[in-house]
Amino acid sequence: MFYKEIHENKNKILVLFIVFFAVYAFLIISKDQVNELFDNIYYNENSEIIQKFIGNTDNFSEKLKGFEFYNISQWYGKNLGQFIPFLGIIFGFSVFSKEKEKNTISFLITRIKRKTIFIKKYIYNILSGVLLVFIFDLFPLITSFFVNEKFSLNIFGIYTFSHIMVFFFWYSISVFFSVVLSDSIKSFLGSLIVFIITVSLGFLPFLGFLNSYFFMQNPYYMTAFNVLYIAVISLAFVFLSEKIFIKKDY
Amino acid sequence: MSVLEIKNLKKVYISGQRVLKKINFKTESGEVLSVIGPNGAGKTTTIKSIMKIIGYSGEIFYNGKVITVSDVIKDFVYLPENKELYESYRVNDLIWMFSETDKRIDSDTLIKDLKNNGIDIYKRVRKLSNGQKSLLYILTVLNTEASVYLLDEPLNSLDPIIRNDVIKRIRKLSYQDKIIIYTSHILSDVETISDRVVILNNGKILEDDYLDNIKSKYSAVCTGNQTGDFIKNSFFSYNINENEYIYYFRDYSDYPENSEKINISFEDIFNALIRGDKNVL
Repeated sequence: MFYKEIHENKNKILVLFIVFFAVYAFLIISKDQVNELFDNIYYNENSEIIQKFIGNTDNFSEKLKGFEFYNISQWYGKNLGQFIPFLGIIFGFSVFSKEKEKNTISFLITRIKRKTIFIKKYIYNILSGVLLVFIFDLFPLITSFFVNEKFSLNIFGIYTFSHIMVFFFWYSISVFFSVVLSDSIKSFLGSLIVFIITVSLGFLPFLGFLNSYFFMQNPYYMTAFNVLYIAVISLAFVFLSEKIFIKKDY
Repeated sequence: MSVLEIKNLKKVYISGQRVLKKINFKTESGEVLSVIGPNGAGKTTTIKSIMKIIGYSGEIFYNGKVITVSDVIKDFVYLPENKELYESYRVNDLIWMFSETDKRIDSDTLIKDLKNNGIDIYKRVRKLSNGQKSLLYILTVLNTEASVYLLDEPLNSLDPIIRNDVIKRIRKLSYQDKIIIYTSHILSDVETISDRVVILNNGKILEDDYLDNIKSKYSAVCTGNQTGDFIKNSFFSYNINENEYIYYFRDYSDYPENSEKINISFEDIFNALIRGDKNVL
């Protein structure tokens, strides 16, 4: 069954790797231009107005010239960070719904126990997604060797942990929709709607924990409650998905 | 010898639609049982219930015990009505994946069978014709070592030559003491292949008997428009012209004097049973 999952997902994984690799390469190549751009903004005569838009910019322009800060803000926080929930959804939304949609599910469920199918499909897809996220998170660390810059392992560890947690969260939610809705487009849209709702609600006082970006952009402020919240909700969705999949009429 | 028995099988979908209304039948190894009926009769639902693809109420017994998922996975094989396969695979890769998923599939014989039927095993599944895709699925099922074969519309989209071959293969399985449950719309195939027939309509069984018994059980007469007791015994009638009617009977031989007994085919019986369903039950 793992062979089947690899065969069916290899193109998706390859395309994602190429896209993210290209984005990171572009980010590194264009570092000087980005620094120059921020210098212009920072020392511009209208800098006060601009600073109001981009928040506290004390030394921001200077800090951005450092390899470590540049990678944290532009890769972990921005380009990779903002796509982590979508990566979770991309890996999860079609895990089961595609089989139903294409009428291939009957081949599997009449030959393998549903619990085994669920576990194998769930695990394969989460492992391949987590591995990909891990590789993307490794990019700054690997690059630091080539450009002879310092990049803290601690930073890599904490950001990778937060990315994997958020990936797990959105992957589990989209797998749930994939089981319940039996239609890939609806499953994708369902996950997306939940994402929009939670991120929007996260702007309200005391509901900040609902916003996934809170964990990823401030992983140093992540509390045990935050980690527990993500883990419990994700596991609850996994449990529910499995129960529904085992009982569902196909 | 294996025995499969369905008792009071009911299926109500979440929408409230009652697809099966307490159906009962039994079949045993060495027998080809055809489940036939019009669209929406409940044929596929019956098969899916046996395969535990859908939930149901009632009981299904396999060799005297309530059927379990393990029984199904170990002893049953299912050919669905929608014979969709994994289109991105090459045929040979697909067969490898199949045989890894289900060790009961004899992949060597399957590949030989496919080559004999002109299927290029290096082609991608999506590039095969619809008939070839169906054949690939059918041959996969027929090359699976099982005790019970549930074949939902197996002959759809096959050309007549391959159709005959598949019919022969299905018959051969019955000689090997397998249980075969087969559904079809094509009554000529049903007549060729079946030992017993269950006729379903609106989730109810209208007839469950050996094919020969069904053929001899029913009769029809052609006569003028009748009134009185004669009509009560007929379950279906239709007018062939202004003055003549055909009346169908079940186990009835006391025809009126002015009537003429007519020869009826299995197809006539089937049509009369379905169209006269309200009168029968």
